[in-house]
Amino acid sequence: MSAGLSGRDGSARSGAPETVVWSVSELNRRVRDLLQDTFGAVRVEGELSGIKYYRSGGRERVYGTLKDAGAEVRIVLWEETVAALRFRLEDGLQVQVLAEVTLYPQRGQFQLVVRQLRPAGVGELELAFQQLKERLEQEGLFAPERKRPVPLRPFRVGVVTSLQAAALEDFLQITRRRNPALRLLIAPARVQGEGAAAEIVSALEALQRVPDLDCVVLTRGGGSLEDLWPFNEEAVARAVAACRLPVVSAVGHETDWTICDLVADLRMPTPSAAAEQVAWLRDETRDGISSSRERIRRVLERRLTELERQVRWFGRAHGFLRLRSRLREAAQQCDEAVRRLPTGLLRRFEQSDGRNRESGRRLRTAAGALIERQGLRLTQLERTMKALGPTAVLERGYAIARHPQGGEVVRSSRELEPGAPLEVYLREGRADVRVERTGPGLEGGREATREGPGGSERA
Amino acid sequence: MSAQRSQDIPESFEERIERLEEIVGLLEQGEEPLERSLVLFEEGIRLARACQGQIEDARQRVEVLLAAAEEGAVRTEPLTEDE
Repeated sequence: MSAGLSGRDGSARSGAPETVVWSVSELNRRVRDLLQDTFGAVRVEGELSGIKYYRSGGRERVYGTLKDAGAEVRIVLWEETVAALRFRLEDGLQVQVLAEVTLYPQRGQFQLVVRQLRPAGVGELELAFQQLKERLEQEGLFAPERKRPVPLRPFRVGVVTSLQAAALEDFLQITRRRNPALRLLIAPARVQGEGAAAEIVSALEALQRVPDLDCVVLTRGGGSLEDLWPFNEEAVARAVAACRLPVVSAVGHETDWTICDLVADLRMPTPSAAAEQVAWLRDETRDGISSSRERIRRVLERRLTELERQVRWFGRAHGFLRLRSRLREAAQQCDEAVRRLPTGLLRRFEQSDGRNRESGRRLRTAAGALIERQGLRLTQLERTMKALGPTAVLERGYAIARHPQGGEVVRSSRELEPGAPLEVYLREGRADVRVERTGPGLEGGREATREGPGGSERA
Repeated sequence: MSAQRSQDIPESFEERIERLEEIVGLLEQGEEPLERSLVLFEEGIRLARACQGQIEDARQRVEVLLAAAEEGAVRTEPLTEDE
């Protein structure tokens, strides 16, 4: 090797080395060949610095420097090497490269052409995961305020998974048990290996074109970091972030967090948990609705009872009217009595001594007070009647229907037959009407048609 | 009374359930005037019926998406499971 430079090439440069004159190109080419022949491929470890990506024709090359405390060497990565990397090269990263030692003849620059590169001390997938996670986090893709609520009770759910996945079987079994009303639409995609990420992205896009989906679940069972990798790829993360439907992500086991999990609106630890999330308990919800209906019915009944109590006042109004006319009569009698006093008794008092005259005056005052008290009582009764009685109800727009004979208030359509006469009392005045037909009221459950199976018995 | 008819019930099941629960709450507080209560009763019963109908009508189906064109034309087939 030491003698390699002489005598190896043609006749033009024969003779003593010091007498040979080389062209620069020739020299550089010779040094390059020498380096390549001597070293071949070597493994070198060092720190990256001055890393620059150059993009051309949609592909990327990288130039930079590999260094340690005492030295540095230029490195270059051609397009196919860059394309195979799962992480970005960054300054400061400790790496181990497999490279060819060579020289760039045009510049006479000694350099390494890197064929393979992997991070030193940390797995390349871990590194790629950390890098993407940091980048997306800075973009705000994981921010809590971006998370949309996943419907509590969806009816139609899209599922992105592999039809071969064990996860799917569990998923289907759980949803079937919990909710026979849930419709599932599976968009098949491979969930591991080369090309899986692209399939997941297009499955997600296809589901967004289905008009009536409530949300989407991305799922697969547990596996190695390598197996789960598609869910850590940027394309999947971007597709999840851009999805118009809320996305539930359930990838791997409880301890596996993927980038997809972080971007999704909701992360469930396992496929089974995702199934429980979307398959709301049908029977439980149905019981809830029944109970709401029952509670509404109870309140309605209570309010109707209250209404009936008020209406009963209307029935008693006859008695009240009689009382009022009795009071008026009494008041009139008092008036007359007082009017009569001056002409008869009172004059006699006045004619007698002062003591009697005084009694007469007191009698007149007492009679007046009596009348006043009665009048006051009347007003109070009227006010109470107004507050509690049907007037208040009528004032709010209700009407009271009564049978013309007897005047009882009608409470159920069961009491009525087509053609029956009715008196309807309004806030102002009254209308005499006839029944055309009867049917269910505000609460349809309590139907009271005469033709109805239960109605005829009670009529 | 028909002057204050309740508005149309919401489309989604979720909203219906929420509105139903809200109505039950309002009615049970008993602070609504009678007339308003009657409108709420009516709406509540309609909601409950619609929800029950929705639940009972639906039958679980598992389909596989074959194609979804841009225009929203979606092709599916039932999932055949080898069990």
